[in-house]
Amino acid sequence: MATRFARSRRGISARLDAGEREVLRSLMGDVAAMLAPEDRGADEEDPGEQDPLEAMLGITEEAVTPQDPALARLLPDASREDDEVSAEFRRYTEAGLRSRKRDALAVAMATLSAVDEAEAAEATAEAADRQEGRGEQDRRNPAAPALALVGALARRSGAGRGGSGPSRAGVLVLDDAQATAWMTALNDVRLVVAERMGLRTDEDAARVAALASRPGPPSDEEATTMWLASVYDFLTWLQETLVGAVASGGYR
Amino acid sequence: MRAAAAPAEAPVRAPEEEASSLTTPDVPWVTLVWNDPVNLMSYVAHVFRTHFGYTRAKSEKLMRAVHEEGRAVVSTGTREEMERDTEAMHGYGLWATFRKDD
Repeated sequence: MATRFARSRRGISARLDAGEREVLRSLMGDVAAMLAPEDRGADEEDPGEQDPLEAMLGITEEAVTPQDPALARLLPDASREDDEVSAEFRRYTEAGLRSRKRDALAVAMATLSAVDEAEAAEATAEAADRQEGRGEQDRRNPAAPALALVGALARRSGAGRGGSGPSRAGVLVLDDAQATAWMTALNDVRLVVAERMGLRTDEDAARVAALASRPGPPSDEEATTMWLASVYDFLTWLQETLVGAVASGGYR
Repeated sequence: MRAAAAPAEAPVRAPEEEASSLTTPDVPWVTLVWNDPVNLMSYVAHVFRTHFGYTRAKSEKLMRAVHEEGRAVVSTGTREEMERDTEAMHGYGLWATFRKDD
């Protein structure tokens, strides 16, 4: 089970189990894929190739409001009154916005992978320790010295990250820049999940919340919404504790 | 971000003062943030503090205005400044638009 984000001397940290990390990474990967620049090269009939200078400056030739409402929520129109103003704004900002959001998601996903690697290294070290203990009785096992070496190396790199205290398994530790990336990444994932379950107004939020306490078995559609709602609640809780932990460091 | 960019020893103007000094006829553009059921109140206030450098009181007041009135003017200035603020708000996942003030 996850623990809330909290600020400590080492940074902003939370404990997430392997399943929770997998759900987060998979959702973040989905949102990053949604935000990938649209592939305009596939259209061979299109005579207008993107001007290389415009591409370099992050200008999108034909930027239009995305059809997918979830993507439109991540990349909203900048004017309510004037479609031309929206289109012009989109032309100059959308490519940069897509890439900054993808960068933040990539940072967050990389910190999750680092936790997986640290946990795997710790497991290897433990296995090697057990092997070492048996070494006296089982000198014929050719893998024993190699395993012992891997264990020693894993322990040494572990010591570099903070010593041999209590297990660090499953603990995510973020510096300020990573915490900022996590906030926007989590928020973008929440926006997409919310749109997928039809959460557009405060009344929708109340309706989704009421599903869980409704008696009787849910329909397939309701069951999907309920599953999304439980993921959404988890994301919301993480986001709330992350904002609290970041804010507790004060503002300049 | 504006707040972090100011040197620590520089005299700091109160954000309220800054905002009102920008409300002049030659800079009649505004950035609006709209209410939605997803963005957390704490997160919205955090974004206003971080991006605009507003005080806690001003950030929370603006956040409540967004939540209760459905939208709020969060900054005032030239069109270019409002475009930058709108772009930054979109980066944070807030639903922002800009327009000429009326």
